[in-house]
Amino acid sequence: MNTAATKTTDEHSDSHDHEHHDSRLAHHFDSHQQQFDTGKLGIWLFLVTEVLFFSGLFGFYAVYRSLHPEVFLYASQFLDTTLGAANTVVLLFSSLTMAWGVRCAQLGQTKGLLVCLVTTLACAAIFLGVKSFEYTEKAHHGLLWAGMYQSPEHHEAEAAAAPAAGGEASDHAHDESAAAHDDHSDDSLFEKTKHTLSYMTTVLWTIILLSGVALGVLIKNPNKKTLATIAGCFLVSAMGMQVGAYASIGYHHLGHAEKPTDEEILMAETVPAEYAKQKEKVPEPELAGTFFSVYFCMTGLHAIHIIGGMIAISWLIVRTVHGAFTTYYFGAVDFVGLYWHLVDLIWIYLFPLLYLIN
Amino acid sequence: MSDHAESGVQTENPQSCHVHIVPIKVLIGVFLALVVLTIVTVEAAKYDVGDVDVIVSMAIATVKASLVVFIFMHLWYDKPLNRIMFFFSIVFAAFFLCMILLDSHAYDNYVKGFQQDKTPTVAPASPPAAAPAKK
Repeated sequence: MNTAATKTTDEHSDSHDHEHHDSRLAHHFDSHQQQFDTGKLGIWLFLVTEVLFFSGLFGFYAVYRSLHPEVFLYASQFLDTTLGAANTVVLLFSSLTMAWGVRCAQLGQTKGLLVCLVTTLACAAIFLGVKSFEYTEKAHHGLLWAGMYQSPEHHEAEAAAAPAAGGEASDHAHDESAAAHDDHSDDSLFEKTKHTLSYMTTVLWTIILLSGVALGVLIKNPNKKTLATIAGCFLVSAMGMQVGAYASIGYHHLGHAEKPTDEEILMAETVPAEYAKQKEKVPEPELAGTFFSVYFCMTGLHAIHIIGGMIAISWLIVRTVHGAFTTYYFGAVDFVGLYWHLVDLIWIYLFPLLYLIN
Repeated sequence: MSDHAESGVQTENPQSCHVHIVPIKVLIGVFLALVVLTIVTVEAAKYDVGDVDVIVSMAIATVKASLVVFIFMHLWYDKPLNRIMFFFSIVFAAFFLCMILLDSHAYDNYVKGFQQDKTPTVAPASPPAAAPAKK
């Protein structure tokens, strides 16, 4: 009896409000404007929690830096400013394409939106690729969080001790480690870094191959649009990471080339000799590992946010392919865009705080 | 249908959503400005200016952040409620940072005194460490 009554009222209101047939408008909203404004308020609230969430880590940074500035001076020299700056520009560019994508969505340009979203996804992947190179390199240099941290001076001491240890132990493993310790120079560490990264690139090549094949097979089937798009997202992400990783390896090759590059000459001129002297004079402070705790916490949390953003952007791409967004329904694009800009915003602060300490 | 009267301004066509659309020129201009500021902050860090460098790099970062927030995130054109909310989150984050910095430096004199007390006694490290904790 009761249900019948509601049914009639529903039909009654439906006959009057044609917009209730609109699947894009949730039933508890009057208009698309209201739905959009509500969603926007919600996403801003979420961003506020994100800001306060990260401010805890910024507090960790601020307290530690104010108490032990020498640790930051010492440890930040191990971060590669060029890679950091390149990553900053990549992230800024992804922010541009995201903002452009939002504009396309507002104007109902589906193709433009798709291109912008895919570019954003690729840039995010490039960022992660460069970051993975940086992390791997740090791990091989023993520059890990406090507790796992090995002082860079430690390598030299170990290299001196290694021949003595090699005499008594004829193990194959020991021989190998002794051989590795013989030249614990930057070059051998770079080779090791490349070796470790080769596992990642192999996995990425596999993903590229599989998702490429999947995309090729599925793209012609109109019923498998979603799967094909997901394969495409995997393809773009894996390729982006590959580009990032290989670009940073290539950059390091450039740094190790015999011929000094223009940049190196420029660096040699701008970075005065006293800097090198200073580096020797400043002894390694105690607790240097804590800087890397800060570094890995902050950049790691940021990287997790990047991965989350990539998943969200992939979701947007799938919806775009299905034609979900129109000139009056683009809230999801705008909201993911806002989140993405916040991730960019945090990196804007992290970059000078971690990489640019002089 | 009294709800419609509340949501007021845009009632004629429910299938519309009026928002500010940022022109492409502005977007690209902001991006270029951000890249230039990144280069500036990298170059500025190469000069040794003492304690000011944190302030300089943070000032540049804040300019960049406001460009992103106001243009890319549309906050300049957004509703006052959203603006106030984000503004206060920044204010409270700053407040939080200031308070923990104040707090962590409130004990500087004690720490200094403790370290001065500690330096003459070399061998027993633990007894002086335990002493201030009891007080």
